[in-house]
Amino acid sequence: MHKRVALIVIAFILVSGTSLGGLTPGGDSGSGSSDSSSASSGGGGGGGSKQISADSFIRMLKSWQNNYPIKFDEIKTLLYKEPYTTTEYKVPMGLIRYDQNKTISRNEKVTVNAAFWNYNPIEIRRVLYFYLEEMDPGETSYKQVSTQPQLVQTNEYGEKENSTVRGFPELENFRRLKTTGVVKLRLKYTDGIYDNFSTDYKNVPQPYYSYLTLNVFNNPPLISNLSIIGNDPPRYKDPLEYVADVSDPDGDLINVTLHILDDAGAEKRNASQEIMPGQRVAFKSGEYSFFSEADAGKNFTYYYTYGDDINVSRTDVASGPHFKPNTKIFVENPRVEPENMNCYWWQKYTFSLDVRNQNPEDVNVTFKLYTSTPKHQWQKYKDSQTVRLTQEPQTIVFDASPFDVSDASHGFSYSFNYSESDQHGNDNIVVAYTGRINPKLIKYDLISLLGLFNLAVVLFVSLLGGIFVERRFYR
Amino acid sequence: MKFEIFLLGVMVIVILIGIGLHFVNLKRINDQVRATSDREFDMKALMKALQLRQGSNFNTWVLMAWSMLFVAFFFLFFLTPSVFQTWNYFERLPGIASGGSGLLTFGLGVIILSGVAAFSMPLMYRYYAVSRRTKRWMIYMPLPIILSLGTSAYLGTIYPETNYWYWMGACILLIIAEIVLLLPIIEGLVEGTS
Repeated sequence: MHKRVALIVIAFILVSGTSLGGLTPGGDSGSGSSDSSSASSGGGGGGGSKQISADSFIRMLKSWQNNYPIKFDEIKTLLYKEPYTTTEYKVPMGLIRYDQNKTISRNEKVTVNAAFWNYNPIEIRRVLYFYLEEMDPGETSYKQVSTQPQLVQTNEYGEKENSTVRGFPELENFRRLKTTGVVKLRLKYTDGIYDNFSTDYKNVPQPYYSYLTLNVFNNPPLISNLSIIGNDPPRYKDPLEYVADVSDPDGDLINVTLHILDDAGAEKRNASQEIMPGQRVAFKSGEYSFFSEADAGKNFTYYYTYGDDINVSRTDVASGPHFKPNTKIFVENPRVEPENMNCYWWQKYTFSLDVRNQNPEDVNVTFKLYTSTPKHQWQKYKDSQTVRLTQEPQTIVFDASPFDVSDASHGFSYSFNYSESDQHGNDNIVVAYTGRINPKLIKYDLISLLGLFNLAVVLFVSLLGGIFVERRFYR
Repeated sequence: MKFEIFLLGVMVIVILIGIGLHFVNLKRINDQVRATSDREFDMKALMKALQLRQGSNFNTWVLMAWSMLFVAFFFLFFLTPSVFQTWNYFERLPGIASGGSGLLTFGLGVIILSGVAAFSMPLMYRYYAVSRRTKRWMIYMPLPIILSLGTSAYLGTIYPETNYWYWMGACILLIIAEIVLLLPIIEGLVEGTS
């Protein structure tokens, strides 16, 4: 490098047209020689010499080096630049640069930069390797944020301030922290000889820091819209769903636990789920088998606990469900009687069921009738009956004409549905009729008023048609 | 069931033969007149010249007879599933068929749909000198047709029960009525060839 500098200086002198009038070293005596690589065509005499090209100059230097080595060394000595001594080397300064809020949430975007100043001449600068180090809340030592160092090359400092700034893309936020509190950041950098920390410098003006202290906090999860989906009031075996909406500003996975309390306030059951924020958590009673027959007639309450591994909270106790008492009724002898033995589709059918209440308290029970044929699957008869059941047997009767002509010649089934459980724990009883609906389609006889009327109209219209056509077209 | 369908085919063919014979007669007359005439004429003019009045009462009765013949025909073959299991009134429109006016609805429908054909058939008679005896026979034909129609309607009311002899009787009555109603054409053919 020093040789290069020397040659540049020589070239500068020659190109600028000095009055030396050609650099013909001649022999050791210094007199001009027959070296034809003269800078001037005139030889001798200063001023007005022609400019030399670089290639010519290089050829000339080489010839001097070969032919006049002593003179060449003398020239080099005159032009040689003294090297810088390492004793004047100034260790570069590195600080953290940060100009955001120092109290941030875990999910908040942070931009931390490293700023370096290197006042050494470029010739003696060294490449700088640096790391960002972090001390997490509750920790006592720093650790590197990334495994790979970043570099600052010797020529990457600004000319005016001899400084440069670098960012840390690997540090976007503190979401990975599982604790909250004070986080400290510092720089560690080396040029291969000197190892330094940004903490070596004191009283640094902002936005620069020898070490950066950030207060990192966590946004806790939130739960809202607590409700129970299902019948109201339900029976113990009705499907119920506990639902709630869950959110977390930090986007953390949330653990939600449902606690069901009995009427004494003691916890009966609990169940947990992990859910992403923004979703609805749902606990189905059937899936978790929260309730059994023993719970009929009882009142329950519930609450949730929920957390993101940093903050754990609980809701207030909410009311529900309140189960209906488990009334059992006794049903027997379901039967159907057609109007007559013919079982025509248009006839009335009497559907009957004997019932009584097994509990001493009276209860209102609603009964519904359904019939099913191949053409009409489980059609509900339009009327239902609500009966006050006592321990005395009663007969529930439905007089219905539930079939139409498309059911003729088919069998059928029927079902009584009731609003309380029977002795088998069911809420309906299904029976298949052993006979068939009569295939006869037309409900009247020909020799009847309706039958003869039908025929008479056809004949009359034919006659009228004949009269009309004859008068209109045949005359 | 195949025999019933065969009988249906017979009845349809008889009508078609009757219509065909009518045109054969007309053509024969046309040829005969051309052979003996020394002037040019067209068929239309000949047909107009051949027309004979048959009388209002006669026309009215045969119009009614033909209309009812078509109704009775459809009642016999297409009212119940006894002949065609799928293509029948009871199967296709059970709700209407089983109603209080099911039979008359079917009858009126046939009258409307076959009206053009039924009321056009007697037009053929105006080209024939129908004898008084033949006219008398033809005027009586509504009676067997009504009987056939009533029998078919009765079979519909007792369905799914059936009575083969009733059905055959209704069918035979219809075939007889059909042939009698085509007598003028048959007689015209016989006279022309003799």
